[in-house]
Amino acid sequence: MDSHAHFTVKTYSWIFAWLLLLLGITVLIAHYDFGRLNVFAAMAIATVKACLVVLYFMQVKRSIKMVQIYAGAAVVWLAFGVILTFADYLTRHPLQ
Amino acid sequence: MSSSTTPTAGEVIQHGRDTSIFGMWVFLVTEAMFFGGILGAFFIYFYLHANAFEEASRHMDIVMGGVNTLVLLGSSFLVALGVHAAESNQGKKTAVYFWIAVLCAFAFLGIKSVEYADHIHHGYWPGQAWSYAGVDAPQIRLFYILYFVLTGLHGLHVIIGAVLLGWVALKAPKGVYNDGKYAWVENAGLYWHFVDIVWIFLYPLLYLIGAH
Repeated sequence: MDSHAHFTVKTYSWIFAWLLLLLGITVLIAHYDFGRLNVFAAMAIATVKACLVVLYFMQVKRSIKMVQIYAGAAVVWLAFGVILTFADYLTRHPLQ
Repeated sequence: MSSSTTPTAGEVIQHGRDTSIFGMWVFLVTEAMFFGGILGAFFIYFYLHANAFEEASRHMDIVMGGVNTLVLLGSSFLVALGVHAAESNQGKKTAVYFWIAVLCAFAFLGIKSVEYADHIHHGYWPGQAWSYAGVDAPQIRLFYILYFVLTGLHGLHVIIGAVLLGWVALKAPKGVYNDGKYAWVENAGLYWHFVDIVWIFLYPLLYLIGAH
């Protein structure tokens, strides 16, 4: 089963290098003023970094299907929580 | 998979490992919900009081936070290598990688303590001694409450993670995780990677939102 083959030290080293590069980009972008886009960019990069850690360091890419589905479902569930809460706050106005 | 109906010893061990790791994932997802709730609160208050949160964030030491991010990313890399070593029965190598990761945990906590001492010295502890002058003081205090709750809970997880890694590192050289029985090496590693992921989100949110 190819998908269950172990990752190599080379793969882990590349992922680590990518994580360092993305950290550098995060710090660099933060020093420029893109208005509200700053926080979105920072969170987008953080999400990419988290995905690299989950897929490779935590080995979800080569895990059993049940772990993959469960980890994916967690992201969806967390997104529901944050998006629905925000849907309330973004549309809430003081009563006239 | 073997075509025989009786599983081989190797398949039994792998099944046990898969089950154990799935259990760890169930736990980690509850942890993600827990941190996600507090991060959600942070997002909402940041949306409501963006300027105050940016001002508060400017009091953070970007370099110290950045070094701590490097320390955690590096330790995660070491833990991945430690698990990799356990997969090929190299328990002593696993122990070395995990012990260095434990040192990284101490370094992280040391740097965080210096930062905490600095915040408290400047009167940013949002308790009785809170002494911030400015129009946005209540909103900035809210930032500090969320900051101490998030980093405090994260720090607690760093301590628990270091204990787990140390425990595995103590047993690994004896060969107890050899022959595919490395579920606990991987589970301790998974916990540590989770601690790293939480920090990956905390660093830009707490330290960098006011940098521009």
